[in-house]
Amino acid sequence: MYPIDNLIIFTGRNGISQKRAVSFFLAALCLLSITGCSPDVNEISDIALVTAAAIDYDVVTNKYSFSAFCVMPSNTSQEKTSALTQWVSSATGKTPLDAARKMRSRVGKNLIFQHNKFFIISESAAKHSLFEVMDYLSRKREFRLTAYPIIVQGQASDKLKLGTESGDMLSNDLLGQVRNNKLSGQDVALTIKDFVDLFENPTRGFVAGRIKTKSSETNKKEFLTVTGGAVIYKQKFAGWVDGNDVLILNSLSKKKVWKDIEFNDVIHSKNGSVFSALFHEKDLEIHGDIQNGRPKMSVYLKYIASVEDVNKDSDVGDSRVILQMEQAASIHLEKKIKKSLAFFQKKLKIDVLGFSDYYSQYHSKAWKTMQKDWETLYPMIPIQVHVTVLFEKSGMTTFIKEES
Amino acid sequence: MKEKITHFQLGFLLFGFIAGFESMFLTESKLMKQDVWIANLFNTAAGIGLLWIISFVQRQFPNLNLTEICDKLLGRWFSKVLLCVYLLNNLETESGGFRAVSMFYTTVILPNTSSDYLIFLYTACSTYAVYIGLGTLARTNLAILPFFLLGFLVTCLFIIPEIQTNPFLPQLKSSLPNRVVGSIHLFTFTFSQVITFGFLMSRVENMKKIFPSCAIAILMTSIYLIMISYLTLSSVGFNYVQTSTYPFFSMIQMVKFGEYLERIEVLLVGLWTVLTLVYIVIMQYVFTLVAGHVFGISKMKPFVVAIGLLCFVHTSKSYIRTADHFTYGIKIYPLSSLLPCVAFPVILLVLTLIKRRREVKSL
Repeated sequence: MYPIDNLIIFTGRNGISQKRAVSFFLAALCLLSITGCSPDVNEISDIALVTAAAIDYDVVTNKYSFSAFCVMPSNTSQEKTSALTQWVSSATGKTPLDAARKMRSRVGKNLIFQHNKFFIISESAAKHSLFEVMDYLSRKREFRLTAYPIIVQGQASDKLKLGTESGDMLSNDLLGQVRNNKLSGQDVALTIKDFVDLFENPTRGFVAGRIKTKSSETNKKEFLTVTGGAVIYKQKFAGWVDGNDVLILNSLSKKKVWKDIEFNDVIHSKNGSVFSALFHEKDLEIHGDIQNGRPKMSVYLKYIASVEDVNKDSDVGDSRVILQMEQAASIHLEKKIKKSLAFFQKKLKIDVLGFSDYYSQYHSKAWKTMQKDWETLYPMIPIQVHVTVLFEKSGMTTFIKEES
Repeated sequence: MKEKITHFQLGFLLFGFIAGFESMFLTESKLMKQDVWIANLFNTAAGIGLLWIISFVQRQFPNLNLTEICDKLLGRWFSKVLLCVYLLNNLETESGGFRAVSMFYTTVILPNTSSDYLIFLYTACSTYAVYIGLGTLARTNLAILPFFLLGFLVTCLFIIPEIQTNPFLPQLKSSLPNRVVGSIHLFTFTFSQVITFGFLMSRVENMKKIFPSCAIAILMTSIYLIMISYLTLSSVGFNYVQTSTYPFFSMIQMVKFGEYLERIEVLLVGLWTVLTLVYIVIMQYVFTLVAGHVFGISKMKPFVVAIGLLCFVHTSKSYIRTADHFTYGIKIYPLSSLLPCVAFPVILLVLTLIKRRREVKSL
């Protein structure tokens, strides 16, 4: 008989031995207290939260600059933000880590990056040193994979110092803009995880988020706006994409990207009327084929729409009028999509929509031969676009009679 | 008398044993990507085959445990040699397990904490678990598994919106060496350890039901492994899986409730750590039993502590660099496990069959 089997805390028949249960809970209580001995414990009075960070790269000196928008934890809520508890710290170094460590060592607080949602990367860093930057961001355990790396024109650290139009904290404002993307679909919210996954793909490019400065329409101050995108190809920054092209890119991406987007557009109908409508993508099908060794693609899109304003007396309760509007909207969206596709194929010449992924998954045999010529094949792929629009709703009025 | 466990408890122990540890690195998914299901199919078939062999041998000698069966079939000294080879494999597996957990914690959660300190805590826990016995461990495992399964189910539900692509396409595009290495790797890290459960089979009340209940556990574990590979590859992406040290952890980091409630992974990591401890405890328990038999130890109480100390020292001196751990796991362990985990049960089966034939002839 082995004594290791003699000592039993919980027995099937007799239940829990009282003495043992008490000693077990006492031991558990003692064990709880040892967490205080951990060197990983952070005192709340010693920490400051980083809510946005910026990375710059100087091509001449080969040095990185790491800046952080820091906030004291007691005043992180939106109501309590004040100038006294927010500041921007910055330092330069030979590598992203070197710069970040210098910055952290100079700050009087222990910087916590767990709540950081934005890494603003300068155009120069994206052009000349994106690999090093992304390696650092994905390797460091403190940076959450759900944070957004965003490229900015010019210097990045300056942007942290700009105020916001709402008066809220910078990161809250930017996060609000990302959330409001469902109203326009004109920006890209690519997380570190997606960035790294696409970054390693040699045949396709992708579009990451972009931040621009804009002047307020109510005062002269400059603010940050998340709009458009930055093209990354072969692990380097390759150009900018404007908001309208990003909308089409989002519409032709995975469902999780477009399912919440509801964008508006102005349509010119054949009968001369001009109307605005909200469009919500309902379905997307992309088919690829090979004809004579060359790829050929078709895109089918279905939108649900609602009429929002009409410029002249039109009875939207009449199905003939609605059919005309649907036709006009379909033609308009098809043109818009074709225009953006032409930009991606002919001008940019980078497969940002991931057609190469489609062929490697569904035509893997043909892909083997196409792969090496993909750069020359891609701009010449004929893409057929079919859009169906269904006006489900037309608002609270059928029509207002216009004075002749 | 030694406490018996039910065949049901043994099956759940097998599930908990593998589900906790194997989901950590997903090395086979990194190697085989979209063809990872091949490794899982191979693993299931090989696991059930191995289980049949061991449970068959055990059923022929219902009153003996596997160490005594070895003595009977192989002779005292040859049995000792083979059991020592198994002990070595057990020790390296156990140390690898301890090091994997401590490495995970020091990399992801507690960067300033010394790994030796963490290893000491784990060995203290596992040594105590060995001390209190198999029955308690089996019941504790039954109490933990529902929480783990619930946590896993919630993770699955919340990760579905993140699924971007069919991760099992294009099929059969991984290279043959990767398929072989991936399959053997998965097998040696999971169901090859059915041999460890062989040493516990004599403690099951109804021996006839060991095979069906453990086979169901193997099937359930395989479904679990395929599910985590599918979810991880489809939500995190092929390239990121290959890059990430802990792809499954990266996947559960994606889970969030609503707009703001993130960091749910901590709950699942807690449960997963406990299951990894189940893995380690079973290895250490069997090590204690086998070593006690091989070295003829009569007083087990101090011996349990000595084994715990041995595990601590061995782990704190092994796989110190992360790269050592990975290299050992991919290049050495799949080969070093073949003798104790595959050849050993096959030898026992062959000898059992020969013995049976001789007995039939002599009748």
